[in-house]
Amino acid sequence: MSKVEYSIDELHNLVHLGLRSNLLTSPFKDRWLPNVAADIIHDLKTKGNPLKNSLYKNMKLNTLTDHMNVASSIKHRGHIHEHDDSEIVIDDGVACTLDRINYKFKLVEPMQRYNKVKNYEPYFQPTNRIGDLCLLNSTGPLQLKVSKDTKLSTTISYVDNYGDTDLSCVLLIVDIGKHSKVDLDEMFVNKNGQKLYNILYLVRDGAELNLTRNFDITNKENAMNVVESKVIQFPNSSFKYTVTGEGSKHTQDILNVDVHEYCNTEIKGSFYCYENVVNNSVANIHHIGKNSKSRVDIKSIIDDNAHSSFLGCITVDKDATGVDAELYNKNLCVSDSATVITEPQLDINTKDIMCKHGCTISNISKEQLYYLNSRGIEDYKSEDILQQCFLAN
Amino acid sequence: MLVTQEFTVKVDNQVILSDLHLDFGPGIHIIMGPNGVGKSTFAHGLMGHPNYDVSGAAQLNGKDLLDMETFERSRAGLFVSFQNPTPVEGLSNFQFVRQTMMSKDENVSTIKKLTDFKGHAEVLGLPEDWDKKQLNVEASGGQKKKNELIQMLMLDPEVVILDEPDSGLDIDAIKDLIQTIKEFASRNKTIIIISHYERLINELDIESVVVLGKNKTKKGDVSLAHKVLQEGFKDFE
Repeated sequence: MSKVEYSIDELHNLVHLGLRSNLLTSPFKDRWLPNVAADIIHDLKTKGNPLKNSLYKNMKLNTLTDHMNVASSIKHRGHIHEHDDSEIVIDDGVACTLDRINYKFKLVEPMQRYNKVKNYEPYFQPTNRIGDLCLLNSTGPLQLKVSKDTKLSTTISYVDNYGDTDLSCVLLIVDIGKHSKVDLDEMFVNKNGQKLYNILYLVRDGAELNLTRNFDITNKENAMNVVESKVIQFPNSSFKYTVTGEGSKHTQDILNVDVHEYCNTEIKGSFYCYENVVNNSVANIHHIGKNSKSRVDIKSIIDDNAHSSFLGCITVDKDATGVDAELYNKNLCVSDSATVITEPQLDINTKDIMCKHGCTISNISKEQLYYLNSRGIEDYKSEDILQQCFLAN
Repeated sequence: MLVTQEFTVKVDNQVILSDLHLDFGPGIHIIMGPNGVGKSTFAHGLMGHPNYDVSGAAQLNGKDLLDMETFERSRAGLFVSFQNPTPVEGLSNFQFVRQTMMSKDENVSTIKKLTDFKGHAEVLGLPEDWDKKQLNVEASGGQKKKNELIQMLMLDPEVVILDEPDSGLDIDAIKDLIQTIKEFASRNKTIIIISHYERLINELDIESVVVLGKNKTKKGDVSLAHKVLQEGFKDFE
């Protein structure tokens, strides 16, 4: 039995070793994303360690890099325990669905013969971010494919049934067919260690994806989750994203949305961070096509010694006239020892658009607190009510 | 019964009120005074505003108010209606009242209280969905004042200080206000109204009038209010 201990900070140098069967070492690698993998390897050689990317400058990255993963030569394929309340369960490159005969979607595992993941290569580009490491180290890409004109409501749990000490890497492609309407509830279950996710969502022409993402609020102190999501909205599509969480030892929720013409995009987040958790949110909205509308509204309450960062960016391309975009991040900091960093960015390359942004960090209003006190509500309860109001409003 | 002795309030180390000896029993009382003399400061000094430095003594039915936290003063039976009620986004008018009532009694019947709330709102001419509106958000000045009255009626305190309850109200609303105050006072309540509004003074059965001046304070009956209304505050500058 041999073991290799390593930090995620070293992972870019280790992918060729085959700590696991991955997109470089698997016998199936040529059927998956060979060109993307080659491009990323080239990118790593020329640009270096992705963890040095400036994207992470406000993210308290040491809470991620200080952790030592342990890769073992013992190969044991665990069994996925079907979650009572989730229709689809994913653990690394293994997935199952409770609804085995479902004509509304197909869940395709990496080794399956009719895996056509290669078709998705054009949608992946090297980013020199942790998402690239996730892709390379994934045990294979999973696909969730929803046929066109389908109405579907389903749930996914990203679990950890192996219970191993190595990091987990999930590569998932969610392809929503034209004119379909999909409600997708995602639950990210914590593990004692690191989980990396690289998820591509394709929202085809005229389709609607309502994505609700919940981060596990148990076992936060030993869990690290890095979720990098790429959403491609085809013309006339709608994407609504609602995310809630309480952070973890280190959480990154990085959302990149490419918005083509006549699309509607709505991003809403609410986080309550306390004790020593680290929670980082990134929302990059890239308006490629004209006459689209986007709204980003992320709220966080930060208490105790928690660390919260937000980076929001709206990019409007030269041809994307008629865009209506708003970007807001509001933070309620209720502790002197908490850290809050918020950074809005606008990159506007055309005229004839509407764009608003606002990022705030505030404390609980003393006047509001007094008003509630004056009606007989004690301090702690008043603060609790005002915090709930902050998130709910 | 509200009694103050040597009641002094400082804000930012500046003395706003000094050495007030006042007492208010059941009935309706008026407090008048020139702008900036500290009428609202008196109310919020008693209520326990965190920015105010208060000394002396203040007792509510024999209980030492100054020894209590703000929420305890409310629970002891003191209510101050705000001149500019604070907006709280995300909290509905009824949820706020419900929370205040639950802080005193966790087993309070929500349905019963909602029925009462809606009844008060209807009497005061507020919109049908007033219970669902956000607290003091996007409401007119008059609506906010009426909302303060609803809170008073729901909380049913012993001693009430209404800070310019008439401002922002139209003629019909003033009529409702007077009727509400009369009915509330009839239940052996102590109501202290900070106002210079002649109609209130004429139509309510005034027990006493206090005029706060910059250098002197005078207490009398309703004739003192009429004197001030005719002659102004020149004797109190």
